[in-house]
Amino acid sequence: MLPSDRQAHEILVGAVGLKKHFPVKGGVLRRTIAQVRAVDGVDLFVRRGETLALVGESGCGKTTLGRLLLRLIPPTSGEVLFNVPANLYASARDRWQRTAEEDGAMRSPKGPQGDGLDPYAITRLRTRAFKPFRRRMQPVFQDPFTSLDPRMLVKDILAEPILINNQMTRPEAMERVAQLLQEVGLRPDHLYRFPHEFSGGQRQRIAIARALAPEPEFLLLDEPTSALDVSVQAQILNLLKDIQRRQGLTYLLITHNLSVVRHMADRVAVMYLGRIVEEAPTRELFESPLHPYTKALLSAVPVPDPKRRREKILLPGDVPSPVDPPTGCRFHTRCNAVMPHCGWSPRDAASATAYLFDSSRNPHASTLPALSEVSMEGNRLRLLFGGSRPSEAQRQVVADLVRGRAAEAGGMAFQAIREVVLEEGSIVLEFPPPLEPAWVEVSPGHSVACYLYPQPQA
Amino acid sequence: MGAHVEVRRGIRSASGRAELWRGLRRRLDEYSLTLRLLLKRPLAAAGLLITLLYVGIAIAASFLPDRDVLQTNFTTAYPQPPWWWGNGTPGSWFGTTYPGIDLGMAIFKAIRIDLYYSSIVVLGGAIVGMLVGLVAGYKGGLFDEGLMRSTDVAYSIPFLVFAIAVAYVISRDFTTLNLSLLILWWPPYARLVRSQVLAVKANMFVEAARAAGASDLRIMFRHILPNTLAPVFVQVSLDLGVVIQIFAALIFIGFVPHSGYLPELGALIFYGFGSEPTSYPWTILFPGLALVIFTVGVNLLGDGLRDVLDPRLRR
Ligand SMILES: Nc1ncnc2c1ncn2[C@@H]1O[C@H](COP(=O)(O)OP(=O)(O)O)[C@@H](O)[C@H]1O
Ligand code: SF4
Ligand SMILES: [Mg+2]
Repeated sequence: MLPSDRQAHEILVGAVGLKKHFPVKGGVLRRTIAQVRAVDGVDLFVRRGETLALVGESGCGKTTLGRLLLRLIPPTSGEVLFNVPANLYASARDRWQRTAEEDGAMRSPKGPQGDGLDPYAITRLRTRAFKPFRRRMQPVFQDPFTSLDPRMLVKDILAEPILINNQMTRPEAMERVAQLLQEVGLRPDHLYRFPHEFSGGQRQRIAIARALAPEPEFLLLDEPTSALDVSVQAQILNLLKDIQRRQGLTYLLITHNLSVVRHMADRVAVMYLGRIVEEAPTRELFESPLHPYTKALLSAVPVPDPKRRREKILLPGDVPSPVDPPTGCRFHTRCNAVMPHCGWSPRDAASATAYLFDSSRNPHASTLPALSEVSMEGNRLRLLFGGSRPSEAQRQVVADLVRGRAAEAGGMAFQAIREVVLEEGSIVLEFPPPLEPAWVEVSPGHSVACYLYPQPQA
Repeated sequence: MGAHVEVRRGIRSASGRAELWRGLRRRLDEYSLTLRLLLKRPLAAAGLLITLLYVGIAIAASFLPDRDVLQTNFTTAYPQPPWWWGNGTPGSWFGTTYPGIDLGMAIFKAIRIDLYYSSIVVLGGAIVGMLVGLVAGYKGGLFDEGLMRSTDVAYSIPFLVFAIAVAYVISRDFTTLNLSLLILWWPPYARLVRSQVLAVKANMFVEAARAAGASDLRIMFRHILPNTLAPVFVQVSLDLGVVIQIFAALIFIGFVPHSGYLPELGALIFYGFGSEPTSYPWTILFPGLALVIFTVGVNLLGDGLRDVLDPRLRR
């Protein structure tokens, strides 16, 4: 037995620096042409016995994060710790953040050797060594219409995880199956039916019973009610709450329904485009959300008390693609509180420069030679003026134009320009290297990643 | 104390058997529902009836001694008509064919041979193709790529050309013909099953099984394969007709030298052709009809199966 098996530690599931990048294949040769950064550096923990809700728009990586935590897919980098003492988790998290800042590069899923995490890090285990952990973490998926094998009888669906994981004879397993069915509110004669003979709510009960079958400690509930009729949703949620109370289970509840969160969760983590942007106890998050994204999400929830009703914040634009997430704060393209240093991309400025610095189109640029090319080089935007070498005076003109444009509405990208320099017969606009806002604990248990809140001194 | 435990054991294993038995009965109910759905369609029911009739004939024919077929009247070397045909021979239902073979018996024997060998080709191809398609679709990656490219190669060879080539290299006999068909018959099944596997694999019950600790083998054979079988059944029944036609065609054009007597439908038609068909039309009419009716039967059955096995039409 591993040491982590004997003792119940405070943190049941913890993620450090977790990333999952899916390759996008293209072309005739099916080569990897890009990466979908579905989960892109997540630190998250679930305490034993609590319910942590994970909320965020569809496509932000919630399901992928859940699959990573259960080791249903291997991470690109980062680690998942299971049943780990709180202090060890905290130090692992610190260490990971430091190393991530230092090299910023992709690291192997295995952390440094001899860091004392080996007994907890399930991502370091080989398949065979991971097997005993399998039964301790079980999923319930969103769609009960595809999550049950249509060619199996309910009794066989429920018996399978028991026969695989728990040393039980078939009759013993069947006794447990009957008991499980009762626990989720179904009748014994339902055992000899096929999944298609049930309604959505009943199917979800069967899926829950299957997840409970191998006696897990942790349940991943991936939008367990969003495929169900509204009238059935509450029943299923109450069943889950009941089971948790009776068996002391730990839940990670993925949802985009915030009323479900209020009903079920002790703590909430808000996810945006592959990262966690805010985390707080449920009450606190609903009462004083900090991150502009959280505020926007909450503003969409109907509030019964008209005096406390918030103004609805509409998120402009679409969710950016996780293939190429915005630099800096990922939310800056849609944030209503955005500041110049939140995030920028030379690309945002590139299209405007074609007009701004073209002497034939902008009279203020008439002293500049004809603009022939704008090229992007990392954090720099290079302006080429035909064959002629720009002079210091012309650099000054460009710098003034940048300043003037930055003052105008929508000049955010220009505000971020740090310097305008002459270089190799061209003028270069320099942007600072983009930094994501740091993860700061604003009050106990309430953390946020946003430049609106004091950043730690570098 | 010990006795008490014994008693408990006994009760448990009895209830264990009851559980398995009840599960089995429930599954049989499901199959009989499929059968009832099939029988509700007149064409499909006719197809099933014809197919079962042929299977029955094939089984019965294997109990006939060979000499019954050859029990002929060599005094008249010309084919004799059946008794109900003009000035027919009393006692002979289907007449005789050159060289004095009883046609009814010969057709029974031929059905047995044709059905037996075409089943070997089709079922053999289906099983091999199913395994290849299952592994390729489930594992994916380079393995999939390799397997599917090799089915492409096998796919691109016209089987008549291949069969004839094999025959000239190895030998021109019935066994070789079977062998070459068997080699070429699995790729369509591999493709069919692979595409099914890709669709089934995307279902969350596969991920749930993985989360429950099921091994790859278990997932492939318990969860994925049973969900891919319906179109395979359809294809098998359609292919039975196709393979019998290929046999008949190849033997008719003389792929297998007619040294000696081969009770096979194509061969029987060939014998009839060799004996002035205009004077003795029954010699090609009866074996031809036997072939056509079987082909139509399995096609009707296949179409019916396609309909009733489609889960979207079930409920
Ligand atoms: N297996 C996969 N291969 C490629 N891309 C994937 C895969 N799974 C998820 N993605 C992509 O990752 C992103 C996050 O998906 P997901 O985790 O399902 O989000 P959510 O559950 O929050 O809706 C999406 O852009 C999705 O297209
Ligand atoms: S850092 Fe905060 S204020 Fe700035 S864009 Fe991001 S969410 Fe908005
Ligand atoms: Mg999802």
